[in-house]
Amino acid sequence: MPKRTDVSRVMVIGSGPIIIGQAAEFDYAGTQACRALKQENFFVVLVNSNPATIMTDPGVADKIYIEPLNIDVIKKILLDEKIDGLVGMLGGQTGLNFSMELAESGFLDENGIILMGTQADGIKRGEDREDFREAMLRINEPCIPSSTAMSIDDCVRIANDIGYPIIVRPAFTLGGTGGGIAATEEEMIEIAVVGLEASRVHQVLIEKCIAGWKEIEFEAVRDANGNKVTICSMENFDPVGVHTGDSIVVAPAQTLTDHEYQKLRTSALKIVEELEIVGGCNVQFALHPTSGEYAVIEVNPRLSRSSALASKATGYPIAKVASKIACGYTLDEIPNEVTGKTKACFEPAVDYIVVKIPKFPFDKFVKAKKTLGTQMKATGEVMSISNNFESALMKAIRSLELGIMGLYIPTINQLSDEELFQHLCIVEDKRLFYLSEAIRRGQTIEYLYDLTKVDKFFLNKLQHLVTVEEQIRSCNTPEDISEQLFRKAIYYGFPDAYIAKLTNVTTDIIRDLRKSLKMNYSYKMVDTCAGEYTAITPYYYSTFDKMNEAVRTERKKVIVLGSGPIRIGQGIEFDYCCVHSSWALRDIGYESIIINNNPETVSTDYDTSDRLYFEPLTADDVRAVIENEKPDGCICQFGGQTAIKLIKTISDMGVTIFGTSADMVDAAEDRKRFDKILEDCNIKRPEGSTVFTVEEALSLAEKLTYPVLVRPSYVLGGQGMAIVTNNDEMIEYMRIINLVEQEHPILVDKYLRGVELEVDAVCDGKNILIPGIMEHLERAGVHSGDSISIFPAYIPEKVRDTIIDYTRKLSLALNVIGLINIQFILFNDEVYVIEVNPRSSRTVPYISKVTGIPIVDVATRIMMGASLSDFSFGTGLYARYPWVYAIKAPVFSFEKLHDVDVSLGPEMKSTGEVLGLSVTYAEAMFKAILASGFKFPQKGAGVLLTVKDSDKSDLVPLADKLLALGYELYATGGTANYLNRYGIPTNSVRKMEEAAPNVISYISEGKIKMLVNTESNSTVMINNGFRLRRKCIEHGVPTITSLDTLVAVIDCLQNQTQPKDIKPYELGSFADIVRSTRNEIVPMNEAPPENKMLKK
Amino acid sequence: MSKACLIFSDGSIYEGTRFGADRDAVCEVVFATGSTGYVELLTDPSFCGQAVTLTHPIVGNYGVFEDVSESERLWVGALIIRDLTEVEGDERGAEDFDAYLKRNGVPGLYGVDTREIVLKIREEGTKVGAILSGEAKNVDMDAAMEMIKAYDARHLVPEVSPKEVTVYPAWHQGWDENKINSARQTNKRSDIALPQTESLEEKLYKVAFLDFGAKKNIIWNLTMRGCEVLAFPWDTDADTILGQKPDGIFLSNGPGNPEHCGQAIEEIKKLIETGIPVMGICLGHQLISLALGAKTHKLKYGHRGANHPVKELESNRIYITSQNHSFVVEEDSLPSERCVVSHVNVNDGTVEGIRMTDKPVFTVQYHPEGAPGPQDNNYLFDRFIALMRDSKH
Repeated sequence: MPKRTDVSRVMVIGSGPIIIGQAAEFDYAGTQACRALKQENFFVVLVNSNPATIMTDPGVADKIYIEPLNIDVIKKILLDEKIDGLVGMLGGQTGLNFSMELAESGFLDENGIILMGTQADGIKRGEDREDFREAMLRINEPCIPSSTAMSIDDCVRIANDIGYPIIVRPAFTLGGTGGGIAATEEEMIEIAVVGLEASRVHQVLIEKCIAGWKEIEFEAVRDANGNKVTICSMENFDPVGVHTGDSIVVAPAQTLTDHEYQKLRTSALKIVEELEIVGGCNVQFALHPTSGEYAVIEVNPRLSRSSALASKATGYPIAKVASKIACGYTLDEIPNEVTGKTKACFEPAVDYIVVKIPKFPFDKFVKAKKTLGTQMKATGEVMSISNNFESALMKAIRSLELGIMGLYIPTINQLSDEELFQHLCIVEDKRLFYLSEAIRRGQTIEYLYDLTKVDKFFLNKLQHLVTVEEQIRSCNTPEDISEQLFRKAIYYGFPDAYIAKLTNVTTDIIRDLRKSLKMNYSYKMVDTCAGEYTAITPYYYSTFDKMNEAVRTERKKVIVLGSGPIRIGQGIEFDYCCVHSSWALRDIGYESIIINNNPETVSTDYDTSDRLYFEPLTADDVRAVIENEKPDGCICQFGGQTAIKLIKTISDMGVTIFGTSADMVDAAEDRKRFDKILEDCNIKRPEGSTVFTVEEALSLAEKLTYPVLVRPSYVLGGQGMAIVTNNDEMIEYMRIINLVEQEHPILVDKYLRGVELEVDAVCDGKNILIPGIMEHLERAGVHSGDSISIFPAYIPEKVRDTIIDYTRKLSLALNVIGLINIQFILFNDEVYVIEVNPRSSRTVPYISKVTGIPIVDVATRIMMGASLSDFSFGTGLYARYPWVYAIKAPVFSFEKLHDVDVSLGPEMKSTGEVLGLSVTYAEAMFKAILASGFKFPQKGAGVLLTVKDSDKSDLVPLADKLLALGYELYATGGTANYLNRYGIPTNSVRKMEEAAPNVISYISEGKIKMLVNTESNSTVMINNGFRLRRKCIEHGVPTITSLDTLVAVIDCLQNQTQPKDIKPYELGSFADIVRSTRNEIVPMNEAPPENKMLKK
Repeated sequence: MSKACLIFSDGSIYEGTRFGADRDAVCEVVFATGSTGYVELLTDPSFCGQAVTLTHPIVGNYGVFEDVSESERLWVGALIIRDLTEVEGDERGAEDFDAYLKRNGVPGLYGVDTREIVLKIREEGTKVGAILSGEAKNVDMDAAMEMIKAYDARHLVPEVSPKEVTVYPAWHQGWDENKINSARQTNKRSDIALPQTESLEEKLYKVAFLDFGAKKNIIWNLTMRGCEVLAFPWDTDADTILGQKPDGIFLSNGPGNPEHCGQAIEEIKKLIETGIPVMGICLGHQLISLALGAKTHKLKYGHRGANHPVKELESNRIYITSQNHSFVVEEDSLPSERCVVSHVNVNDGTVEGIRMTDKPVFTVQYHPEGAPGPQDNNYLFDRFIALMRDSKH
């Protein structure tokens, strides 16, 4: 069928901020979609609140709205832009839910807007539990016994009918929020309460628990003509019961007979036919390991994380094809861009093994519950490709950046047999390693299978790896390793560095040994067809075969190192930077080469770079790519800490580093060298020094006087950072931090509670360009990634100039070529430097978009020889006095992670971010807070206040405002007395340790609609405040842990702004305002003329 | 385990490790891209004498269940794979793959770069290769060259076709005799309404089946739809077949060059003129085309896999098909006054099926029975049943 002509202006809804369960995969899908739609000459309008994405970049769509994803806002933009076609299947569950709401309310029909792709009734048949079961019954596909419940009474009745254990699955949620497995009625009720709350339609499914069955997924694509194909099968390492996002996944499925495979494939195709999918769909099955009986677990009638994985695993661009289908094309009309010869109407054949392993945030949330279940907890994932399972697994393990290269983890090795057994009985993030340890201790495959139901196929492969590892470990020197064993180890994916570590020699020795045996890295192509047709997209993975398909070209070339899996502290922002760098390199005639291992991202899309190496980002793997490509140089400053960690290895290889040198990166990180630089530049920093031991830490803290800020050197995202206020806390902190062997010293600095300011700058070696200065709403102490960030900073002219001056001095002192990120504290009218990172930062995408300066593009060109004078942005501070506000707010995933404290501190906890744009401060702040998912309490609702003593005086005026706004105030003992004494009527509520009614029962009963809780900065986690905050998160009660944040929220409440009243700004026109007003001086403390409301 | 090498006439050597039977072989080397169904593939008579290179990198993962065999024995000449999985103590009682090949005398080679072989075949075409014991540095190259030179693309159908008539009772749906009577209740595959019968034992149609080396799943697809299948040796004459008064005639798949089956083509010419519904699969499709006066030629490297898109021209629908063939029918050579091309391959445009316009005869080049491969094309068997039903009334 030809392209449809009934629509011309199309809206794509993005998925919003990165949260657990909805990550970078939708940036990848959305970007592909926008480009596919633009190719067909549709006018594309994109709405997404997430500024860190490629999809919200100028040029990806015709018009871009970085606005809150709110139904009223979306309606407004739909009407303003005269949209006649809506694509909702690419923005994850968020996009799908909005599309459904618009369709079901009749808005789309009333306004002549066509839902492109799968229609609302089909989506409903896939999403609504009851409709889905009816549909499956109609086509005779088996489901798991289950029933939907709208109340706790329903839940109890149904669970009794089905029999325990049961699974609770809330309807219309992401990543299984609020679900879980229950073996008893009590457990079930606890889960169901949360689940009902989490569901948009207040509905949960009570389902028979089929633990131990295999979990298999199929990705299917169907066009409007009824043509349908499956793209990829995927098999979970973990049996049913673990969310697929938290499971190790292998593609294609490995342990299915043809009969089983075809049975499930046929079922998947029947289902997409029944749902009349027009686009992509994911179907999940449970398969009994021996009887072959199967059941459909669920379907996702949209693009998903699994479809991104399937796309990267096969080379088949599902999002692009789904978009073309939405444009009206049939599968046989859409070309397969990988081969250039065949059509999209085929099923990829795969001649390699793909392994995906999730990346969990438990290295940051040390005390979080690590058990895995139906609720997703991983923040990101890595994928690896190889020609055998063992090697694919080994590659994936080292891609995780856990500090391990194989299946051996020392702390697990130290467990007693009994402890190990306990760990094996539950499903945890490190199950792979517990299983391996059990094999190492001689447990049989039979025994482990009975215990875990992990398929013997996988257990046998683990045994291969453990055996080889142990055999090598038993060799004292590399010479003792037989050639056969050595070859086997290399084939199984043991990197040189690991064999070296096991035999206590240097990596060079092993590398030479390997090369002497002619076992060299060679690269194979991902081509969608197992070699049957010639392919034209250069997308490679390494093997140790003789034939190398990645033959070096004669073009000049640069390697850009990627940023690996999405994790807290290193998110999608860095992928944004890598993608832009690759594009810039292409533009100026270089062959751009990306190395990365994250299947969710745009950087690993086959057409983002000229060559893509899907490889781990370790010294060995990167070295091998460099040896194969012999590039003109490498760029390491865009891939976050992952890439910067490799700069020394690469530099030592004699490879040119484009941008700031390895030595200067070290100078910025090394305390002594950096202090010297600051001294030379005459720049102040908070007083401090480095320590290794507890004793040193205590004596230094005494000298500095508490509070002090402590942190390990060489970390990103404030990992392990804390504010310490007394000796006990210091002892506790040092104990925890020294659980892991510290290669580098611990930094201890005086903690200054001032205003934090941040800049990103580009330096060409002579001049600097600062797009804008950002200010953090929360006072220093909250990690910059977790604070609300305001552009522009309203600071005295003198301070502004100091910041420009310091930035210039530091950039030049560090010989920065490219990007630098500096964080300052303004304390008692003095500017202190607290952190300098000679690399890209989290704020680069946001400040790029709001100022209209393509920072990464400029930086990349400068690294390749251009100077700032080649651009039209000038030097110094670009947006000095822009008449706009761009406010970035963090977004957290606390509801997915049990036992994690929601209180903010110097260690970063947010998973994503949103942006509010306006010409007034008030509106920008409202947009940012609204977009972050904060549920503003309705007038008259209860607000619970419980703050630390030092905050009590600051609380009084704020509580007064809340009261004036009509809120009912509740507070615990001390806070209530304090407020009442100041004449603010406050209800005193009993603490949780006291008998009910107390704070907990008030929250459970829904009397509290907002919590304000500030805690003394204690590293002791188990305390009442923690339980209180968790309780609120679990009941969906918005929680504020800083009075600075409360000020902003109260501002919004006072303005009584409603989502329908806000004015959306198109990103291009917003940047135009910045450009035209940037140098128009307005007196200090006087806001731009359009501003109705002054900033405090 | 000992080393062995695959050697081509140009002197290229691929060293790997032996598994399965420890014996040398010389075969036409082909590749197949499906990811599942190695037992079905090994027992498919169409692979007779060929050395099959599997692109799926790990083979033997779920062991062996012989009840999925497509014939009574293994036909593949040799198997070349990347990595081998051993199966021990399987819950379902699966046999280890290596042991299975040993027991059945089929030599295997693992640890070779199968992708390199595939790319070579893709670029240079299907070629004859020898598998000999020894390491690359000391393998007997002269012997290999002799073997390759002596290799003759022989007529394979007589080797794989049964010598006697076999009767497969209606409602049979696999090797297991017990499944016969339950088939009618459990059969959900057929989309057409079958006539009601008094007895479950009673057959609905009698199908004369010319067995050129048929995959059993073709027969089961007919029997489970209520057909009694009389499988005849490939060279049975038309009169003998017609003497059985069949409701329909089926021409199976089979190995080798269709032009070698000249004798059968003459009989087929008679069969297709009778007005009895005829369906042909793979070799059967090629033979009917040849009987109509068309020509066939050998593809550079054939179609072998479970992912080939085929367009049914009448409905403009695309189906994913299971394929295994070297030869194709030349479209221009088909008599346009007697037949139309009904199906084409979406990737390379080759003929995938024809339909006679004056007789109830249709064919497909691919395998609607799957095994291994998709079940999307079962509807073609329903179509055959419908033709028999219509011509009966």
